[in-house]
Amino acid sequence: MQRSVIDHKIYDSRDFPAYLPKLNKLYDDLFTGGKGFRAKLIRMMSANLSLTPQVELLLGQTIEFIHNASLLHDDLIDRSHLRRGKTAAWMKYTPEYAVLAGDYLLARVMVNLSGHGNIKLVQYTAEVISDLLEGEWLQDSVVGDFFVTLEQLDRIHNLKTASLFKWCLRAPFIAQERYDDELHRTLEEMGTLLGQLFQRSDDLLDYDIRNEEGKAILGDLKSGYLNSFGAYICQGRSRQEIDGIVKTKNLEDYYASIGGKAHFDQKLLAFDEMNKGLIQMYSHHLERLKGFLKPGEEKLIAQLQPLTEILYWRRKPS
Amino acid sequence: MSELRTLSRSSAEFEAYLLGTFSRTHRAVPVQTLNANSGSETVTFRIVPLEQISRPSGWMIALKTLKVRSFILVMVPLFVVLTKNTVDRTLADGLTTLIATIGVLFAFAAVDLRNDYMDHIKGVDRIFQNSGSRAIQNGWLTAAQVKALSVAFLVVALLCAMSLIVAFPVLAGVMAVALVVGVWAQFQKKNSFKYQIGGELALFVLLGPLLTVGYQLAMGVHFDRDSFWIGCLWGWLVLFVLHLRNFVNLLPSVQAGFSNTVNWLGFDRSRRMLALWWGLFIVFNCLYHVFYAGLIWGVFFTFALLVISIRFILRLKALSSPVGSEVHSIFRSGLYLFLFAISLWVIECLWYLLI
Repeated sequence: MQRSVIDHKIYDSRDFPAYLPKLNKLYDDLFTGGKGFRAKLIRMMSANLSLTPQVELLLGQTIEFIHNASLLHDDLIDRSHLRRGKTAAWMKYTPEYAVLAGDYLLARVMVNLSGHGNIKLVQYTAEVISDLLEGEWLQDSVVGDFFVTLEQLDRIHNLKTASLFKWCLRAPFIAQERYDDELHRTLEEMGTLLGQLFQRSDDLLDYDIRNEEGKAILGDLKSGYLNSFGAYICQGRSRQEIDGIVKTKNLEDYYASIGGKAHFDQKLLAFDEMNKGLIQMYSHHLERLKGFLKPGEEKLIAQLQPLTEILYWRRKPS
Repeated sequence: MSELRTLSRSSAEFEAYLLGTFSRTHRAVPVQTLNANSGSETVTFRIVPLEQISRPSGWMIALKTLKVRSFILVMVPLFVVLTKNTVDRTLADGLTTLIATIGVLFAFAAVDLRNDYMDHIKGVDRIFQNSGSRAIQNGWLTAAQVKALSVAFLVVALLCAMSLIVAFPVLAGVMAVALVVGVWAQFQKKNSFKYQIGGELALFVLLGPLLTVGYQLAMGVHFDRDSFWIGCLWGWLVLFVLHLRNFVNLLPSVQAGFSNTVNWLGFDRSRRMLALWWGLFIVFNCLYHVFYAGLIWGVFFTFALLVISIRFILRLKALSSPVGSEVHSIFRSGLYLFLFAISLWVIECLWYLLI
């Protein structure tokens, strides 16, 4: 059967050895149900840069393999029981298999990319994987730390979350052997901003803000992790106050602990305002990107423009 | 309405924006820096009209720009050396002592301002959000203005130095060494001197033995080992604070490619180094007192410092992350130790002066 590039089926069980017990079942579970946002971003970039379907598939697979490998490891580190509404792999298949399955995905990324032959793409991807792992490591080191600052979290998110967004924007150009330094610096800035906005928006879900997907309320806080909005709310508060805030079990108690719902809404407005600054910077870099595109590629700008709406404001793409 | 402008180091306008000389009516406030400390550095500036820059009062700007609190780094050793010579009745010339004090304060302010200027140009203060006076990054002053102020202060310091050399030619040697070390440290091409292992040594020498020995000579007193060891002890203590600060900034400074002892050792070994550094300070301080200031003070100091250090050492041992809140807490804790040691020195000096 011909693999469909249009549907972007980035996972195919035939890509993995059939003799490995449980591996394909584990991947079947893992790859179904995800939004595949990063692969869609790759598709958008590839379509506008006129990459071949093979390269588009390679890039889509690469980013999803890396992302899903990180989820396998993440769930085990966080002891999360659920992933995409299903039992997490480490619980269903044992922690050992979850770790090995994650490692195996990363190994396949290197096998696939090196087969493509673009050494700069291989090197950049390896750097991104390394950044991602550094971010995971650092994030784990601040679990249980409820006094962490937004600036410190931003550094972690830049490694853990933004690195993949940067890759999605830069890798298609690298695959085309377009190595202009200025172009890549612009894309790097854009990826950093997208990653930061995505993470901050994801952190807001925890407080039931724009939570269309029904993410567990105060889940991060209950797992001992103060996320970016939590850190923003706690800024300037005493240790005693923060101790009270982080012990809350539901939103009503949370509002009460910080001085009421009205105060919460005020902080949310200020947080959104701060992030509008990031969105403005993204638009500024997008404007700069125009200068690096070839004739016929300009549509990319119009398609990249609404990403902040989708990622931060969680608006549905039109 | 402010606008954004992104420039890379290779751009012809980059320097003018970084220095703030691109306009008389606007400031370029750096909001994001990518690839700092490299040839491919890119900075995004927010271009803000002067009237939209939020500023505190003129006095507050002056105090913050000059980082008045940091003057403790020169005031304490000057006070200790002054006390020593007052108590020993060796202070020969009050006027030269006054000139030397003014000269040191102006020289320190000049170095401080120059340091802020260099850290802005090299990206250090654009990456570390709590580093430096923030006068340039907040748009209160341009980098060019800070540099000009530094030169003006240096001129005053040099005038003081020249008049002292006329009075005591032996000072020329000390000042020549200080000048060589200072020029080498400030004009290092790659990094600010604080962020290099050799630079840490320069800081030790400049704020330590060169300062105390030079100050004593400027009083018309002969060189003695006592003032030399006071300088060494102080230089060691100053480096403790520097290592602590570098430790707090370990992650961003490693990412930016800065090199210093803490970065070279890494997180785990730096924790041990900090504990060892502080422990050695207690030992050196004890030895200094045994040989030069009396056994009773030595025993008292050592006991007090050991007791107050326990919590710091235990927290350092338990520290598990270079990015969490605990690392800032450790910094504050270390800073209290530094201030406590200074307080003990001041009490000791006052005791010698008043009793």
